Amino acid sequence: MTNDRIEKIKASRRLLAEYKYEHTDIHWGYNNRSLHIDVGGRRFTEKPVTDFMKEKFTGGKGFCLWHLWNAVTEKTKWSDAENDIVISPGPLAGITQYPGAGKSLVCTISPITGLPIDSNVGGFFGPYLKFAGFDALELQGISDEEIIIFIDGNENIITIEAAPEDSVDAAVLSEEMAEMYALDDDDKINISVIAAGSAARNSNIGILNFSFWDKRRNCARLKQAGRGGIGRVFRHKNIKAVVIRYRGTHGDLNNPYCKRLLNEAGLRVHREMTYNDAIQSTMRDTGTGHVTDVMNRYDLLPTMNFQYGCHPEMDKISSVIYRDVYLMQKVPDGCWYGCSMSCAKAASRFVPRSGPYAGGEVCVDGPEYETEAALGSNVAVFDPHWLLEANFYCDTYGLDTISMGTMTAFALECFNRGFYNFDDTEGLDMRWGNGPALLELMHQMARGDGFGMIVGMGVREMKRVFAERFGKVAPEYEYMLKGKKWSSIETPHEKTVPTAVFTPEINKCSYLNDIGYDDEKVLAELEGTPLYRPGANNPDPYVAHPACWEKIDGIPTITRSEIQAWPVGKPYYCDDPACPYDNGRPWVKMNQEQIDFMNDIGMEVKGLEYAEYVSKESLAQQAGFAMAVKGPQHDEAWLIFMDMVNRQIPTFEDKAEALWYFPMIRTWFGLHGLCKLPWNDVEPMDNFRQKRANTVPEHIKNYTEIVEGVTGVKLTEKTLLEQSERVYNFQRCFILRMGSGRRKDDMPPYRSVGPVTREEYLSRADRYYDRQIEEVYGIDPASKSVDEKIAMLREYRMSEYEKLADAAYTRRGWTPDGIVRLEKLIEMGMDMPELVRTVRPYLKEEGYWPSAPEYSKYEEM
Amino acid sequence: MKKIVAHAELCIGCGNCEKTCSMAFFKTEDKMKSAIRVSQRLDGSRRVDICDQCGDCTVMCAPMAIRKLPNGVYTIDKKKCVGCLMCVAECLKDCMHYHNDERYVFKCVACGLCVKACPVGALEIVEE
Repeated sequence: MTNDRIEKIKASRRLLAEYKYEHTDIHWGYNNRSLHIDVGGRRFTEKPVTDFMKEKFTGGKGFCLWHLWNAVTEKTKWSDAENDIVISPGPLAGITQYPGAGKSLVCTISPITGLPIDSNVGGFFGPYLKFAGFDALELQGISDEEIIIFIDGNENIITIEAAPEDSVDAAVLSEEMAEMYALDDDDKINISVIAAGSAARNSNIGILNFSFWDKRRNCARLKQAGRGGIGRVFRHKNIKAVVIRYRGTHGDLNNPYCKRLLNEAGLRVHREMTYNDAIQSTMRDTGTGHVTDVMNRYDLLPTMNFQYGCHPEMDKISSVIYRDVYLMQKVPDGCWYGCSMSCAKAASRFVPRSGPYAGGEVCVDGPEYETEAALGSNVAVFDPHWLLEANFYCDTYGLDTISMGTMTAFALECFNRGFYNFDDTEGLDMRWGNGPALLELMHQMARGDGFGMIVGMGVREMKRVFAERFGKVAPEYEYMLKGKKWSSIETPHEKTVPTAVFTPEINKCSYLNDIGYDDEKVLAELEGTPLYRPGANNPDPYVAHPACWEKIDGIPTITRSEIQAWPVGKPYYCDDPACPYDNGRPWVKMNQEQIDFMNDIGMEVKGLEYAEYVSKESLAQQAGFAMAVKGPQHDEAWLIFMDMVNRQIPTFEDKAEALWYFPMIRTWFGLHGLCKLPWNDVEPMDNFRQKRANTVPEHIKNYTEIVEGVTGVKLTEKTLLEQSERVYNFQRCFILRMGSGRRKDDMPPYRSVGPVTREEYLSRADRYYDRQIEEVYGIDPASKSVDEKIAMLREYRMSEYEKLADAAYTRRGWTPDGIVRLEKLIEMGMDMPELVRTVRPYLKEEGYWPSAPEYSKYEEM
Repeated sequence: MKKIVAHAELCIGCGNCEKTCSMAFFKTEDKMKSAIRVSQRLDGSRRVDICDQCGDCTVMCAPMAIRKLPNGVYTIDKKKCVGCLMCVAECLKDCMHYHNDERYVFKCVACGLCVKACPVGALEIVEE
């Protein structure tokens, strides 16, 4: 960072508004006030945190959702000025004695789902916000120029400054801000920055990066509030960054009620980490990346858009490779003080090969398990350098690695199945395993041009665009292309797209060979399917449905061989006078069969892309994903490990109970500003002896103690779960208010439940599918064709899913349509008029509105 | 490297070293605020825990509050310590200490006061 650059930024700054507030000490974990900033009107408001809020919503995610509920109406869109970004650390956030206590929760109306989304994130911002004097921060309104908000927690001044010259990309901006606002080098550790990135404005998967200064590596590290496109809302409000400074961090700033409880519980867990981690999880050594190897071994790792669960090349991007080759200064480090789990990892001298930062040294955190799966196996890129580079650009451009991976995998599969072609991608080679093309998609999102703009809309929108109007961008997205007609956008693809790195050896047949299948047998099984054998004449065995190229809607189209020979970027105009399409792409309109197929393989629920686990063989995880309130993110019910690896929830009842318990406990961490990992990724050595070992009872006891230690509230496991239940059901009512949250909205795409294609079926026929057909239907699987077996399996598995949904809804106190029952609201003490009014019409429609006289008062609410 | 070496077999358990240490650091006579700890095993023999300045405690310290002085002694920089107790857990020799009244951890800095206070010469200050 040159001084000239900082001077130039400083000179361009203009003070737009200033606010001074009074400092008060935190009392037992709460400041008892929150800060509201209207970035459009440049107004500051302090709001009290009432006893009502603390009782019903506890803090963190609870406060976020409550503020958001009050800020929006059922008609609010993500882009409306009233949409609110709420950031709240919980009452325990900022303690240093217990691992994982620096989390902030962030909520907003998501551009990708249209529903309230919540995301949790490390970094120092949350604790510093609390120490500065606020339990939550709301950002509402839309600024008419680019701004930066600065909160000085020591001087108690908040400013809004016009920031025309500041960078946008998070990695650079975070360092610029540290340079600008820190008094000296030692003070940089006291600065934390929230920033999105240049792609966040152009895609639905924008993230917020929360920074912390890494003293040992002397660089800003970034942690991400990743899911649901919060970064897009942030950039839409024209905010470049929110910067906070707080000097004087120590473990007692929460003024805990009883420090002894905190110290004792913290030390117990620190010691477990010291002794047990190396033999249980290796979090300190390899981070969450170690899960990649486990998932690959258990056939649960999403591979090529969730088709398969493992890949022979995975060892190339194993966590051990990163540890040994890429990650510098191999010391354990965490994203907040006192995190003895220390799962964070960073490559501080990484040199990207593409894009605006090519050739320079950058610092990138990770890669986490999710990123390795999303940008590695799921898109068939098995090059550790490309993967880490993709990780870097996702973070600094402000893109969610999980959604990026899942949506790209979907786009790749559609391309490889021939649903669109080189012409539509402006020459971008979307075949499996093309790392440079994956990077180019991100650069396009950052620049705001090219095919990346379509991919960046997310799986749900891509399905629509591919199906209906590919090549003719929907009017609502035309503004994003800056008024240009999609087909006329000039992308110098020959220059910007490096030579495609297509790796033919990862084609399906050799893949199946590797896992024990015989090519000839597979091809015989596939009979007439036009799946080409690999070889010199057929370099691309994935284009499996050439039939769809020939004629669509009766219009003759360009042939496959013609397309392959077609010059890059040259438009194809249909010369058939009957052609209804005016953009020269008559073959793009799909038939219903293709659309159904896309719905089966498009891994999204409620609009949000799936997180990276293959749930096909785990009924519990299928429901854990599809029923998750915000969309299929595993932070609600990550049951796959206990279902498939540890085998702790074998029966139907166990699964339904787990679908209640785990969302509650995970919600609880969000209410308090805690990280989930120290709960069950490293456990006491004798945990397996415990009844209900999967809940780690000893750690639950720790949590009740640290809550008492900080807030003075005495909890039991029951009351702890009740705290979560109130907020969880509140969120369910909230999404109902926003037009989702019914049974139909909890339906998974079939690929997350079972095999969609023949290849998928065959790849696991021996281990799972044939046996299940035999058990369920009592017939010899050899007597049926693969297609028949796929259909039978589908019928059975979907019925199982429906049964589990019934059981889980009942356990949660919901109706069969997934509506929270009035009796449940009353039981939880959440019979607030807002919620009663929300559920009432649905309960009445379904016939679940109670008619007894004691409920009559709820009629008038 | 400067450090205190204990000859536990000579120790009579008078507690003078602990009192001197806590008095020097915290102006109070409290065994739990002493950086040297004497305990008795079941067989009646004594155990003396005192830092040997190995430096393992620095590994987990994110704010880099544990500094090595030129004489090889590790000290806590109170301005930087955030009281997370990770070094306490990390010290396999139980020589990093905390107290619920205090914000910061504390450890032996080999000042030698305890050596002078020991009536039987069980403690020795050495420079290697």
